[in-house]
Amino acid sequence: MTRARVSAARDPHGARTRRRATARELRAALRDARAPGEDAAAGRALERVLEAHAAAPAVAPRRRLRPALVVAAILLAAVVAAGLTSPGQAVGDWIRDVVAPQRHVPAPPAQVPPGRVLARTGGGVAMVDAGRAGRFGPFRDAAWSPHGRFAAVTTQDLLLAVTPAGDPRWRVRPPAPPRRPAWSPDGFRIAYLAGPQLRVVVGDGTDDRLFWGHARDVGPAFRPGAGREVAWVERDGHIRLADVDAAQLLWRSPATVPPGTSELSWAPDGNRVLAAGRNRAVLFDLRAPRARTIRAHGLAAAAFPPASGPPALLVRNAGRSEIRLLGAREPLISTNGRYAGLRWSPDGRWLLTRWGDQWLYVRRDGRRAVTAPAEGDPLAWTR
Amino acid sequence: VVPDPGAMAVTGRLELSVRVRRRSEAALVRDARAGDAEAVEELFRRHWRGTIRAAYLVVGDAAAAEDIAQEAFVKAMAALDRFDRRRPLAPWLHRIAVNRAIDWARARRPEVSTEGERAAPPDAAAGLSEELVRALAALPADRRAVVVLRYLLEYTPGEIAGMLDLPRGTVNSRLRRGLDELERRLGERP
Repeated sequence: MTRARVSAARDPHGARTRRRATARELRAALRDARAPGEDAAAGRALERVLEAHAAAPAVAPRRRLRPALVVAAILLAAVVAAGLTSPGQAVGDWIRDVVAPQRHVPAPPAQVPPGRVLARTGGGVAMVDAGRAGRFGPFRDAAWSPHGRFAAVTTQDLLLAVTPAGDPRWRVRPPAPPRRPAWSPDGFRIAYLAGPQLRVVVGDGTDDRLFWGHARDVGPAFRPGAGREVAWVERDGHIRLADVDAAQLLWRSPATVPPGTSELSWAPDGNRVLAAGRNRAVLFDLRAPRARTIRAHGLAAAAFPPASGPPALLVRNAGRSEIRLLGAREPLISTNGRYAGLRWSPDGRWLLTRWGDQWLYVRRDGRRAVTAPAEGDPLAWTR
Repeated sequence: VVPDPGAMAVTGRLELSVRVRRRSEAALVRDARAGDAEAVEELFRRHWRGTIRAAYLVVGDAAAAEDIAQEAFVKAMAALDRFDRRRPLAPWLHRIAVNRAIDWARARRPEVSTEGERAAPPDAAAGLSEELVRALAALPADRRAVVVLRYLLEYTPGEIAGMLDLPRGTVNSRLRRGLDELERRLGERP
């Protein structure tokens, strides 16, 4: 009887063979399976795990030898090593393992917060994914789409939508060099500047058109939770808010933005917008007739978090830099040196700035900071 | 407390990758017990993915899987002083996570669909076809757990029996039935 016949006799209906095939298929399928959001979840979980570990009492190592025994062991090792190289080496390794000092002081964790950061470098734009940098393309500006599936990027002549791998999906060529693109919260519109113009293009690259003829060089910003309403700074320094689909002007700020303003930052409730310039920021409330001025000598940047909370301020003064939350008595962090740029993480738990040749991640509660080699100036951070 | 980022730069990722990642698991467990956060971080890095994937495939819910995997690590770190560091850490972690996932899946009420609407499918796992996710989700939780431990984490039936406190024969029968059911469900695809 052949092996095949024996097998067939034992497994007359081929059930075992079919199971093996299913098991192979399953094993191959599961090999590539990932839990949705497992990397982002890792960042959150690690923090919790480290907190739990820090709260648990440390246990002293059990291996303890009397000094006399250690000395005897060292002498023995020396004697053995003198005569027999290989066993001597083995004993020497054992001695080193036994007498090596244990680390009792926990080292600070160095986990970079999760997410993908687009950064402007000397050679274009780089994408840094959980601390690992990759070249993105020879672009000037870049902004993530709301879910991070695409980025709007600019070159000398073009506005492009590219995938996270840097592959172009579409491109438009406006009449002047494009810059400072911004996505609407639903991802269906992109506003950007081209020369003095504010222009708007549909998210699939169609219907690129002039929206406003005279805008300052301040990045437009869509209002959160309000469909397709974009704010920009007019030539006279006032902020304008308009519905880009209805082409309807909705609001004009009661005061001008401070000199040096380059970005607008919306509060997540969509009712307040912040313009930070040199030494002062102005907070506009769409429901209030007057604006609030925030004075801070050395103010360099300010930004609302994506979730609730006060805006963060970056202040540089007398060779030192600090990041603080508006209204807080103490800074989140303060060091010598110069910070450049301020970006919130998508979950609003971390702030990112460039500190010389390092990126400095600071947790919102100020209880933790992490550094990583800088990859240029951070432009946008997504999940 | 304002941390000193200068000190952190010295003990940053590069050093972590070279020095800590070379340590054996037993050494990492020993150091973690002595209070070394870097060792905890490295242990976490080595085992997070397997743990959350196993939890996810048992419960079919990304948020719940995250909670379960995190809880498994927290429990494990809290009980490190009782862990025999001559043994591998993964089975211990997976045992905690998968047992918790089975409890969660059993306690969860079945999804009731309103007339004309389909019940919400489980969250789609990256890299897995929706039909396979559905087929796995259709298995009873304890059978699903055995299948996941065997074919995702590659434990032997004997090891699975030890992890789930089951007779080995029960593990084998659950594996057989699980595979038969998966084959039947996947065979129904057009």
